[in-house]
Amino acid sequence: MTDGSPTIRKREPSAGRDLTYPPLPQALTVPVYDNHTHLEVQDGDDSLSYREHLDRASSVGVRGVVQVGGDVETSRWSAEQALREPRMLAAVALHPNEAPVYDEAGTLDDALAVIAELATRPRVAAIGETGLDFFRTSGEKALAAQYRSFEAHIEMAKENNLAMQIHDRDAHSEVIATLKRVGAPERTVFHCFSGDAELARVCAENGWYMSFAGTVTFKNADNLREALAVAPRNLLLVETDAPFLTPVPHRGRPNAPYLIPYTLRAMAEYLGTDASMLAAQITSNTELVYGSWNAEPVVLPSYTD
Amino acid sequence: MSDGSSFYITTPIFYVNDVPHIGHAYTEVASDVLARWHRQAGDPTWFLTGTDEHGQKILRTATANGVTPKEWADRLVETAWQPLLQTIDISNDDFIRTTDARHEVNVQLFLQRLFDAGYIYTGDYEGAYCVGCEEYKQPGDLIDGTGPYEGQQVCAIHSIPVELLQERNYFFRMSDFTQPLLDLYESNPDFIQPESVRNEIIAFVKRGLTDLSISRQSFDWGVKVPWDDSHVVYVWFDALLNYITAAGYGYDDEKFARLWPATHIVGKDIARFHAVIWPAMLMAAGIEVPKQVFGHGWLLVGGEKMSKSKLTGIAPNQITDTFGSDAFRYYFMSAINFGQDGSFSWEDLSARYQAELANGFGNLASRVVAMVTRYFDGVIPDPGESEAADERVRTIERRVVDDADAAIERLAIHEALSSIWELVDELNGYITAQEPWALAKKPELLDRLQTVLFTAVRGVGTLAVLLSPVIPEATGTLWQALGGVGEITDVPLRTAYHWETDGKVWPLEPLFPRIENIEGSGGPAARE
Repeated sequence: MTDGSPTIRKREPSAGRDLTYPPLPQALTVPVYDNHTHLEVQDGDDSLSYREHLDRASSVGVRGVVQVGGDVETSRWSAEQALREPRMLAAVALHPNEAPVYDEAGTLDDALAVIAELATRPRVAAIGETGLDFFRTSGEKALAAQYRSFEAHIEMAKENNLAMQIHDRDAHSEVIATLKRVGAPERTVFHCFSGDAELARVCAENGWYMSFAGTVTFKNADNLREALAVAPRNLLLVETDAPFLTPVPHRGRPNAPYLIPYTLRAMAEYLGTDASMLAAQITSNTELVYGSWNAEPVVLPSYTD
Repeated sequence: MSDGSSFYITTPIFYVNDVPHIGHAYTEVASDVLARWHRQAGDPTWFLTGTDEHGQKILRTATANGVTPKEWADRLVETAWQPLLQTIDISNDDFIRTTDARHEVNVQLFLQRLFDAGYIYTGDYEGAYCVGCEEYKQPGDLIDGTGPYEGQQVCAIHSIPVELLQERNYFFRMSDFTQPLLDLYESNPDFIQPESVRNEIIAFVKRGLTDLSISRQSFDWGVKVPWDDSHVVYVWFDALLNYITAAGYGYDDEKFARLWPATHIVGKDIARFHAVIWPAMLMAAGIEVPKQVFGHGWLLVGGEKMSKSKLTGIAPNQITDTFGSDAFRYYFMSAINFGQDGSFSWEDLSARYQAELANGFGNLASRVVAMVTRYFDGVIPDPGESEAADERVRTIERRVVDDADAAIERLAIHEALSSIWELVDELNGYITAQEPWALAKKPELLDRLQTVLFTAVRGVGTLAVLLSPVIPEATGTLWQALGGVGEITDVPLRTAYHWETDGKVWPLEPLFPRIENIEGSGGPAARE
């Protein structure tokens, strides 16, 4: 895992997908950041290292990424790569679907302790993704573990004054209730925002950020676009969640940070605004949430292929 | 102010917890251009900006961050507000913070004088208080409760019932000033500008003013009421006084007499505080009212509807990183009629950068300097006999100086720029028509070549002087290249055409270089 190994996971194969990476889109005039991506996951026919991903991203006006871990191993990898790559900041956490797995093995507290230590490292800019997932997790014990993990992560974000990225799947009202009950971190992001206009209003009232992924370009996602329309611009972020959720017109093929211009342009078009101004707004927002990508220096030698 | 009287100009003090965005920068740049213009014209000028640092929210964020409110404000001033001023090249003479001793002490003095004069009385304030927010809520902040709170009003943020609280408050007899304010607006039509803002405020005051609650007991991060330290002064009352406490009120009478009254540049949304509450406070204290309150418009993002597009949450460095601070300053001052709402877009900014700054002004300067270098070894030639075309340039040169100055006097910054641009266009047309490169091929026309380049150099130098309040960086560079004598900012602006050179030009890099990724075809931003 060390020495900047290019990837440490592989996406589960599924039948019938086109496994080639889509071509480069036209570059953005005003650059943005991909505030949620998983470059440790290998997907597609060609294996791209995080460096290749970021070089492609740079060439189309994607200035940097937040590399997000979901368990102990990927969080460690994220924190370490961020120390060698100036275009990468890290987010560390136990994914809500991983928390019950650790719990079952009796290692949840140990794993949380690892995340808590990673959270203090330089260039770790966020706790995430954490939250609640009622789509893939069920059962009283498993859900209890999920809640316990979520609340522990909220505390870590607050203690370290870090942003927090929330994974919320089919659990809107429980996520909101938890945030209100224990108090949300100052900079809270709904990663891969999946709510409707109503949730967008709740986020707006509380000053929570809404990060839109490729799903907002999907044909059947009118509720997401309605949410986008009511979301205050100063709370908008954009992400790929790569290698998942590839935006239209390449839905189904492997996703990567360099494909974010499709999502950004679709958002601008739907809002009837200028893509460059929206990009400038989102970049301002992103730097407010995570700070400057240059605030803390990289200290490890860069990875060589 | 061609009479040389003092020009004291202010921006609103910015709420220190805000995040600096293009809207703040717009107000700052406009005020800065006016200040630089007057300063360079020789008017005694004082330009004040600063931060508003009191109030419950600041106390709360500071506590959450484990520091005192003063430490929190110090941090924000240093990391957010001072850098903003640098990013857009602001030349303020003073920076007031409402936590400065000079402010806090003299707010108390002012209040005591108002109290002694009988303009303050004790009354009861009743309102809906949310314990979650720790503040009084306006009716619009409340919603109908659901579930266990059915039938009650709850806080929209916390969804818990509000309490009807009553507290003892001090009130300012603002209602006494309804008529005096209307008289002021009537007798001094320029007091509130532009006209649209003036009309709105007159209509508001005509409905009659109510007394103003000026103290709070619910928190203590503020200026204490001098005769009752269980109260702090209402934040707006506190904040408005910065304009006089920074100018010496209460501790430097000579300075105060010299600076006051001020011209206040504000966004139209807060014009009411500045054109109603503020002059009423001053009248009550027996102090002269401001010279003028100018409410500028909102920035709108191109192509979007008014209701949705008050979207200025963009950090100014998103623009200056690509285009530079001069372009930022020029663009917002030229593209938007100062006083009206203005729409802006990245494409418009790019297009004007290229057409007006790079091709219009920058290219003119480069060509003229290059031709003097090539044909006369850099020595600015003496003119021969003038022809009509040369006289025409000189006439326009003088006229635009007067026109631009008159426009600045009306705070019509965009008109000043369009006057100055008449000279840019005239000089570009003049060079095209006179074809100095053709004259240079004919030794017998040397005299004519000398006259043409002399005339062009004079015009370009005048442009540099006139534009130095707007694009100080580029004009400073150009001034060096023209062999300008002394600092460009010391050249009297109202006679810009009398600028002096030591007689030799120096090579000039493009003032507004081509920006590669402007069309979206290049790589990442120029900063990388």
